[in-house]
Amino acid sequence: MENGLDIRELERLVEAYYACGLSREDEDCLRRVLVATGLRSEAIDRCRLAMGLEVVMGNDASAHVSKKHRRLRFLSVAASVAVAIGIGVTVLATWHRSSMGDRMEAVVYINGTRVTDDAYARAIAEKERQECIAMMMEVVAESELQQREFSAQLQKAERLRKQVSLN
Amino acid sequence: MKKYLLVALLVCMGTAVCFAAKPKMACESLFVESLIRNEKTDVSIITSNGNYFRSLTVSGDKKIVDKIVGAIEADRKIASSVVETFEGKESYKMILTIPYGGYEGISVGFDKYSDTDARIFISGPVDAFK
Repeated sequence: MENGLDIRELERLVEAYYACGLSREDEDCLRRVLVATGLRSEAIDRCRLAMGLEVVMGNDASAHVSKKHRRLRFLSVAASVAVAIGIGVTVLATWHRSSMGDRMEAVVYINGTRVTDDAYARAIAEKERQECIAMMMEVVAESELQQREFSAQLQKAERLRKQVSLN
Repeated sequence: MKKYLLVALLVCMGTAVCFAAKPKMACESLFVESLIRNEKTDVSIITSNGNYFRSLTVSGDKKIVDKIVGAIEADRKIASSVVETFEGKESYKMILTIPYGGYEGISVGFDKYSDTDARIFISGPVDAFK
């Protein structure tokens, strides 16, 4: 099979290709001819596509197709990058949060000046936190106690009122 | 044309939603550079175990104490619970529980020792303050 075929001969070969009537060697030749020749028809173009030669040829029709493909490829790459970034950020944030869970970060200022010794800053900050928690517990406990006392007084007054009304 | 306008509108709305400023607790706004680096204040900030704690103690400055009182009174309005105890004329303690940043229990404590001395602290999950 040589180049210099006309369009009809080429189409017949294409038909034979689809009918599996070509040997391996003839198929290779047809592939080479399809790359080299400028002949075009629907059947020939389809065969080029089937043989994956569109991209190699780079003619107008293939440019149109590959433009589409390129856009599609760009979009899928962009989507993949976006997904990868999203996953990365999530993993980093989770890792940061879990690693933060293991250690304590303390920043302390005394009279407006930052304490630069980390261990000392942590000790001061922790003491401060404990004091605040204690104060919170104390306030809550005190208010609960007052509430209980008030309820007891109210009950006592109610009992007295009932006694007075009975008498 | 309509399509582009719609897309532009959606982009603008998305951007506005993303950058919309979250309403801040008044007490949170006390932790600014001018008060942190003030010689009349002590500040402690702890981040650990997913919890955030910060306290501001004022010694000998009525203006700052008044500022804190203003902030605590503003936050009192949005608190889900308030517990107060009073001692004498000037001193009192207050604990506020505030729903904030999608979390129910942000604790704000205020301890007023005198007109010029006080301590305020905020404690809650780190994510609530992001």
